[in-house]
Amino acid sequence: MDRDDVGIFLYTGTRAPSDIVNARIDRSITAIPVGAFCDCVALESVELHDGVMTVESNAFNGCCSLRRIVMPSDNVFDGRSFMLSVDSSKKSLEIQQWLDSIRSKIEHHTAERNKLLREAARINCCASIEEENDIPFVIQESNRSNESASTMNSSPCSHTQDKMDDSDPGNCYGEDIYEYFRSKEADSTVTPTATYMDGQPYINVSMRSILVDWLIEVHMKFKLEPATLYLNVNIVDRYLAKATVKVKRSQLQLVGVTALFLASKYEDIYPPELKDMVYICDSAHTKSEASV
Amino acid sequence: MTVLTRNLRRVCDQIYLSFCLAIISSSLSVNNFALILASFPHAKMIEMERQILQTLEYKLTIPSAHMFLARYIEVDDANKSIVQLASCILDGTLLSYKLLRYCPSKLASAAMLIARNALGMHPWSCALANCAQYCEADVVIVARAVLAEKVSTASELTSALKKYSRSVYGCVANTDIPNV
Repeated sequence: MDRDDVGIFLYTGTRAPSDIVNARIDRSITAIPVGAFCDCVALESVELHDGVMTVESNAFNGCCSLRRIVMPSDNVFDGRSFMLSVDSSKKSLEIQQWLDSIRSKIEHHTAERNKLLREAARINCCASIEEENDIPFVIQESNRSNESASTMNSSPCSHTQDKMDDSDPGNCYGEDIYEYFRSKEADSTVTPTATYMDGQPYINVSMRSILVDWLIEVHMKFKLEPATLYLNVNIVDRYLAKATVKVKRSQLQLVGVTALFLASKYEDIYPPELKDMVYICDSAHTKSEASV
Repeated sequence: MTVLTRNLRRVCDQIYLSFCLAIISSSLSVNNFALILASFPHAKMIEMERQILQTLEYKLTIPSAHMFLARYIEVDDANKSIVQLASCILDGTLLSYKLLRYCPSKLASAAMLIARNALGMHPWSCALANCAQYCEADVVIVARAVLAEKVSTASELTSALKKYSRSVYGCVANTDIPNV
């Protein structure tokens, strides 16, 4: 990675610094990875060479000064490569022409174009560009798209998107939502080793099972949403893992039912009231006391 | 015995109530009042709610296994019996403490794999592999752990069984589940 004499930054694979103005891609680079030029706010011009086959998603994310992109004809771009990179006021003639040329290519392949537009709907950040009836920054060369989908794996669920119903705009977010959830799930679960029970001397694993079993029953009685149950058990686990106080055996049911109360407020349309919760606890209490 | 306990509780409640009234009328310290109030089940729950919220720093909603399962069902275009069986298996995983070490998306994909396998389909479809980004071998490991836990679950824990034995859920609880 270097700056040559004329002040052009030569991209050789590592992430570009944010203060560069002009950039050129080194001949050794065939794919620009995710986030390569992310937030290079000063970046005005990028020169690609014909060996660059792929520009991954978010490669030019946040490049708000980008006015000029020099590129050979048959590159393949992911739909999100230039997301947020250009806002319509700063768009120069060159980019306008570039878009026009791409549009004319795409219009020859109506089916492909529909697919691209569907993809474009996912990128709501491009709304300002859509208003001007441009094709948004979704550039997937039509003549290459078939092989790119199979070989480069740039869109893992492309075949399912084909199946999707155009009339339901909610469907096209599914993949993004899934990816977001995957990125979040590690933080939201208890430690991967799941050893919090060691820090809780008064309760044990079988008590937890009994509690969850009882919660499933209550959940069924109240006819709550399935998501409530999962959130409920997760809250119980996270509380037991994080709580500084040692939860007593007699309190475990209280933790469980309160977590249910909280979870139902988040997930259900008609959450049960506090008095219903107290009632269900009360009857369970007397029942268990009677059986002892 | 039951009647006695219940009556005893009622008497206790009465005593607390009169205590509270006494405290209000003689305007004792608020702390004492709160202490006595905390003995009531309603107040206990509210106090516990406060504690839970503080401990979790108000970060409550999470991507749960159920949400991942919903996505897999959508991607796989699964039929009703797969949906019911997979939900049944996934509900069963909640009971197990050991399975907490697997992340929710893995548990959901394992439930999907077990359900597909039990209904005689190929365990892991291409669409699922693409969406979940787990290969079949990875999921099979989790699926075996899930099945092992299912076998070792104590026999008195029958709520999930009861729930999925109902006709609303297609009586899937009685389905024979082969090993994967």
